[in-house]
Amino acid sequence: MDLDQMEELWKSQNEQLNNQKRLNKKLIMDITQQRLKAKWDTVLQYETLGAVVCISLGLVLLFKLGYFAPWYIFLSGLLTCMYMLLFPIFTLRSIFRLKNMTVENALFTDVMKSYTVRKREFVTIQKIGLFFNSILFVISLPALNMLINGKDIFVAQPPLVYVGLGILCVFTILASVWAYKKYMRVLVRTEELLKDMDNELAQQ
Amino acid sequence: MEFNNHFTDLIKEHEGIIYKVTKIYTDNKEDENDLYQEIVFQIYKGLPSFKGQAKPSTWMYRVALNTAFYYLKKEKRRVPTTALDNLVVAYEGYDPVLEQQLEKMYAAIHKLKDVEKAIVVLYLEGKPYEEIGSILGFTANNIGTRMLRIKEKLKEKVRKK
Repeated sequence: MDLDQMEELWKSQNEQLNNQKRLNKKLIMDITQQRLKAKWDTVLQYETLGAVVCISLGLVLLFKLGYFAPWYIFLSGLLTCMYMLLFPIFTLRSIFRLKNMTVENALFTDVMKSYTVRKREFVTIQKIGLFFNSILFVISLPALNMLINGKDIFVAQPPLVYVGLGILCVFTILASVWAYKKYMRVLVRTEELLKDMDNELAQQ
Repeated sequence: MEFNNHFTDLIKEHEGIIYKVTKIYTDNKEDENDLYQEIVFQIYKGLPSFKGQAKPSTWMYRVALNTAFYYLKKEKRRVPTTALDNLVVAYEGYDPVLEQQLEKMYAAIHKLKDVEKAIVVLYLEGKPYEEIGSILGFTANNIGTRMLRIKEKLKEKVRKK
């Protein structure tokens, strides 16, 4: 088939497409909503992966707690362990609650009320994470040093590996800020869609 | 609400663009549906930053083609899609012969390289070389040269048959 024939066919196709409108507003918004849900799925995937890593480390620390002495290493281990075990659960729970919000057959005011509560919970947990992720490296150093090297960080000189940990700490903070901003954007989009769905229903 | 109304109006007005781009870059119904919906979503995401520097159709072509290029490169990761097939409106003027010819046309376009496909679609849409170049990031001269090559390629395929 050469280009001239294609041009003829293209014109016919355009006429055909004009007569065959596939989309309406409801369908366009459904598509968009479906994709947004997929965004939450992606967020959930990353957070689940992070949770597995955190909980594994938390469990290792939990089993080694009895070996941690003196008291400040024990306290460091206990705080790190608690954070590693509890925080991922709260994070995943808040994402699940947002993702699985029931919209169908609910009143808009109820949907928005429920969304606002879940959003506040999610944002609070993200802010807590943002704060604690950055100081956790400092808090966890005595326990991690004991776990890896079997030495008290305040007695033995920390090895060069802690320079690496410092760099990792900066990356963690940057990654946390980046993720926080990204999550906020998804939240704004979700909210806009919920409002629009209500508008759509009101017009029907 | 104004934004969402603007968005849906824009999509409805130019849905043919999305249809054609998905048609040339996919070869099965499932991928077609997936890419179609991804383009709609990318337009939704990109619309706030569209300040009217270009014609809406030009901008939509750019978004649709970029999404298609990205879609081809990325590892296929399926996301749930809204069933579009059930909502296609049947209309009286449906022509099965035309449909068959269109299939042949798309089959011919499928044999071209990815950039060539984009050039052909924009050319068939009646866009001048300057506009095609601005959408794809080439000069008008470059588009002209590529068009000559595409014509030769298509003729060659006919001759081989």
